[in-house]
Amino acid sequence: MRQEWREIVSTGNKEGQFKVYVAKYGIYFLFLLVFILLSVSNKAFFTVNNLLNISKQASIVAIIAMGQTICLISGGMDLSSGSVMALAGVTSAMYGLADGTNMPAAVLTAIGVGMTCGLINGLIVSWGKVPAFIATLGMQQAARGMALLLTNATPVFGLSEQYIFLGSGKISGIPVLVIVMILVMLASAFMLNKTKFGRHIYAIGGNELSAYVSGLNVKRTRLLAYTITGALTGLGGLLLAGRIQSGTPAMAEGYELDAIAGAVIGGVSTSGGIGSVYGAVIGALLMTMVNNGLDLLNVSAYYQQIIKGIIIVLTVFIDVRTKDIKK
Amino acid sequence: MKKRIMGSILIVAMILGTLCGCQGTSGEQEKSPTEEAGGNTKTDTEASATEKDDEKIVIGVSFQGLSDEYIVRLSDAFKEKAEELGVTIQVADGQMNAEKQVGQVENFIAQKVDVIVLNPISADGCAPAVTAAREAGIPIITLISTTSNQEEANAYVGSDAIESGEIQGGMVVEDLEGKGNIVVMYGQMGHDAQIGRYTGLLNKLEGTDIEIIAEQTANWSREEGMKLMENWLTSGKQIDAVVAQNDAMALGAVMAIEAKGLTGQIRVYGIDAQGEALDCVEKGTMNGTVFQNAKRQGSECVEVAVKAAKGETLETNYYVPYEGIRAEDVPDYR
Amino acid sequence: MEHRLLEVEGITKSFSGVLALDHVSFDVRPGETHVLMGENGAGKSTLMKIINGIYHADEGMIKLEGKEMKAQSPMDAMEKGISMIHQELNNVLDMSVAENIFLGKEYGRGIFYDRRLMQEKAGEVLKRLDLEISPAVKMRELSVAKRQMVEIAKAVSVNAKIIIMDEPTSAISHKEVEALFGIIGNFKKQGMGIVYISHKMDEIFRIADRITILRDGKSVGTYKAGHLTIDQLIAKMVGRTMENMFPPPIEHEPGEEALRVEGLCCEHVLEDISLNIRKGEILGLAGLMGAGRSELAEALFGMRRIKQGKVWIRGKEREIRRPRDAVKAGLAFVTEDRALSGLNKKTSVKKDMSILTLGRYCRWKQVISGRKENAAVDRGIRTLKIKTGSRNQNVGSLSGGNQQKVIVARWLLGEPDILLMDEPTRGIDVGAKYEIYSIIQKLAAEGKAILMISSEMPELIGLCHRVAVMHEGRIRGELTREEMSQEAIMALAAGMEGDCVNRE
Repeated sequence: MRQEWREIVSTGNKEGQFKVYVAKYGIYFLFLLVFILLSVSNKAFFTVNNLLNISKQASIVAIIAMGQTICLISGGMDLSSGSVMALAGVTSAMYGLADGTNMPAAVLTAIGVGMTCGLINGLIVSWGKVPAFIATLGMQQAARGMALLLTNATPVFGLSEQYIFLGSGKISGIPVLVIVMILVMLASAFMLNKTKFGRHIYAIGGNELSAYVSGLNVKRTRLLAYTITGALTGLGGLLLAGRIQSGTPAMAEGYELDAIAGAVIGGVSTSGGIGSVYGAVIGALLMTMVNNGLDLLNVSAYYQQIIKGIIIVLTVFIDVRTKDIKK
Repeated sequence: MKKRIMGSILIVAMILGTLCGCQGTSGEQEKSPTEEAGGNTKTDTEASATEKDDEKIVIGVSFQGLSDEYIVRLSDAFKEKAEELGVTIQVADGQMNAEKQVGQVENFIAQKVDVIVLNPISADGCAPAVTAAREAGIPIITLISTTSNQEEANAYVGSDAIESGEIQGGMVVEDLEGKGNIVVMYGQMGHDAQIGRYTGLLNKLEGTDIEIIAEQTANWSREEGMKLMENWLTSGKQIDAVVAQNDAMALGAVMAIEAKGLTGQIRVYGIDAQGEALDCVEKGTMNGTVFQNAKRQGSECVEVAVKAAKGETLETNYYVPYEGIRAEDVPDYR
Repeated sequence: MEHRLLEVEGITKSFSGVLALDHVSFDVRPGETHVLMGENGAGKSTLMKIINGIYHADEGMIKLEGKEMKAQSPMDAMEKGISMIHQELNNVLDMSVAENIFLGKEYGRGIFYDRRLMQEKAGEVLKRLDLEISPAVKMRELSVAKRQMVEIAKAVSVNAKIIIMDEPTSAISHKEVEALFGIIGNFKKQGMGIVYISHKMDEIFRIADRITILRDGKSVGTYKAGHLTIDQLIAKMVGRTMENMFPPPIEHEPGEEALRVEGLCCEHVLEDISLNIRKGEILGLAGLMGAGRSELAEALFGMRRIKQGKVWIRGKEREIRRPRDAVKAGLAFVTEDRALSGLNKKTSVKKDMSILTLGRYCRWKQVISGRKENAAVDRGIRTLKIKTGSRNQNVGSLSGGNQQKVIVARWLLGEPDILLMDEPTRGIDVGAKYEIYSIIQKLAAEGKAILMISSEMPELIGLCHRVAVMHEGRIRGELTREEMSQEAIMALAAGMEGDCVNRE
């Protein structure tokens, strides 16, 4: 133990400023690089319309990725996002039908369902001491089953205009989705960086025992982190239902993995304690951008999957490497 | 120790939860009303010989996945017909997993059901199930999709995926008058229906001046279909029609087109004839869909299964034809 | 007499520049029990790990029966005739006794093994040791002592020539110790060599033929057991001078009582602990590894369930169930293991230091005021002279001493009355140690009550007003400044009832 200590300490902080810079902003460089590459290779890519497209398509994944970020920073993981989105989406869509729409109820239901699922996840993880992976995997199954049960596997469609506005509308040219995403980003960033609670999330994820010894309420903090993640997931479900103009019980399948990939690409550590919501948003944007660019270039689906896989592993590989330098 | 107990309780709870969760749609023993009535009524015992036979027949059926709307409709039709004939059915949900389906068929064999109906998710993955049933001497019938060793099965009930692609392709060729640019949205790559529908489409496009300018998968999903269409629309190419391999993706395309204000300029075609798609065809935002008759597939399959259980000779294929739907046909399919 | 079973010659080993063993030599003769002694960290375990093939020596060689031997792994060492029984038993609890005995060298063909044959063979081995243990029974069902016996059987099963025992009696009862000594006697008769590591004086003098003493990685010498008294032995073990390792004491009078503990018991680890600390007083807590010192601190801080006993803080009885309560009661706890329970290395100096007192820098209870936080952190950096590039530097990139200061600063920002410090100078260099000592003295002068746990006796003697010595979960005695000597502490820590009784 003592020896290991010395080794860590002796590597010190003597590396060049540049490497530290790259380490900190590596993902942004990569983002720019891919952006330029795609702009050059396809003239349809760098157009206002297409950029709006990308940001719109990335918004929901980004919101879920931000939820994941909060959960991952606290040292957890939420594999139930996709299913919870579906559950929140179908239940809220039931209040958003064109005849007898009740928007406040629809919004509250979506977020409420998400929060409840998150709260249950949190309870099972922090009080039940079940590993997050297992607990949320259980929720993934249960929530999807619930969504299918409530709808008998049939989409809820015929939604009101107000409801659809959430997913497809624009306010002075900017998609509502993008606006909501930016608001969520600002609020989450504020919560994580500027509040005591946010710092506590980083602390329990960084070193739970240390946080416990310092008198932090580890369980409550963890529970709240999951609940907030759940709320964002519910919001994502609402927006997705609005975007595809129906609450489909099969929707958002595999969303959690896209969101985790986005967060991780954006530099969030899967072992907790490190990351930012800005990174998560950039990660989600990067993935959507690549997908969009390849669609424009009409690249076959098989290649797209391969490329997506390579990007995920490569960015994390680079991240791990540069983080080592930072140490 | 405490941890272990907690863990066990949780697992049991989860399993129970899952079972209960599935109860509504699968896993249960569907009993016909006559059987439930048991021996209470004398009329039952005095019923004719064939009816009695029907009553004793047990059909084990494994659906590819009851989270899919179409399969749910199919299973509903299946149950309805079984109830009508008074046969007992055991429904299993394959959850889109070939391995699970093989296991379910093995369970049916162990329970010695009279006949097995398999709705395979994968042609190769589910093939062992057919072999197992054959070896056990229990007749097995495949429903709406086939396995790679289909010749070992006793019969096939369903439709020909190529046919649906041909009907859809026929509508496209007719509307475009044999000339134009189309984009194709595939379902999940490698899926039987994806391959069959594509083959059918190509059959009809052959010899015309219609060109496929982009093709991509949207995994049967509405959101992915929408995203894909948005991307195609910004690519700046002239698109005359979107051919989607199912209605969900077609509806996604319709929304993307509407958002761009291009409704009416780009034709959209789907397959499945689900409720919302029918609305769109009627309104004109979609130009056609193809009806796969779930109800007839389901009920015909029960009839074939009963025949098989009684040892009657079966034909190899029982085709339930697809039906193309245009705006004027919509009321007939409500 | 000239025949030597094992010869260790001039073994040197360093870890990233720190010398752990410096030309250590000793030898073992057939039929001999050779005891290795030394303080914690003297290098005994490292030496054993080298013999056992876990580490490789930088210099020197090991000869087995006159031939040079280099074990590549514990398994290799075992095949060559050296078996080691570790302090922490590492048998597989869910396997049977037979499977454990033959772990890694199962009988059988290919991937299959012959359970029957293995049980038969295991039965033979156990019989040879006069052990009444069924080879088929699961390890989990055995008592700790029996498990230890199985470990010994495992060593015997390979026809070991040398058996190394690292504190084999630390977890077993008196009766079982007798059985163990019986077995050792048997081994000696068969001409095997035993290397025995222990802190327990009475045991050592009962079974040792010769004793080699290690101190700070060097061999002090090898002595015939009969030629040494206990006092001489202790003197040789600790014999160290103190020179100018400590800052001059700050003169002040301790104030009223800050912490009082009476009859504290914790299952298995603490037994009837009573102590008190006054404001401005530094109470040292000495003892060997596993004596229960850290456990006592953890119990006081609410991290262990207290079975019995009462705690008064500033004259008021308090019940502390979790660290949160302890923090509220004005306690601070600098833990033993910085990486494990001290720092959050994934964050900056600022965020790590302020986490405990964050509430004080907040508006509306939640929103952090950067200005207030920065001011507090800067104050911490200044008063403890923490060497860091900026308050935003990653805390993991600081040196060990500075990391420790960040932890101390974190607690001091909370203005505690009582500080529990568990090995506050572990793993940091001499200069940083001096600074930590100064800080501790200054804090005491400011009226804080300090409980300082340390394995370095000079440190305790140099700093503390009083030292309580623990042994096997009990406080064996308390020494005033006048009574303190390394020999006196060591005697109590080894569990001997000395003439130094608590004078309070």
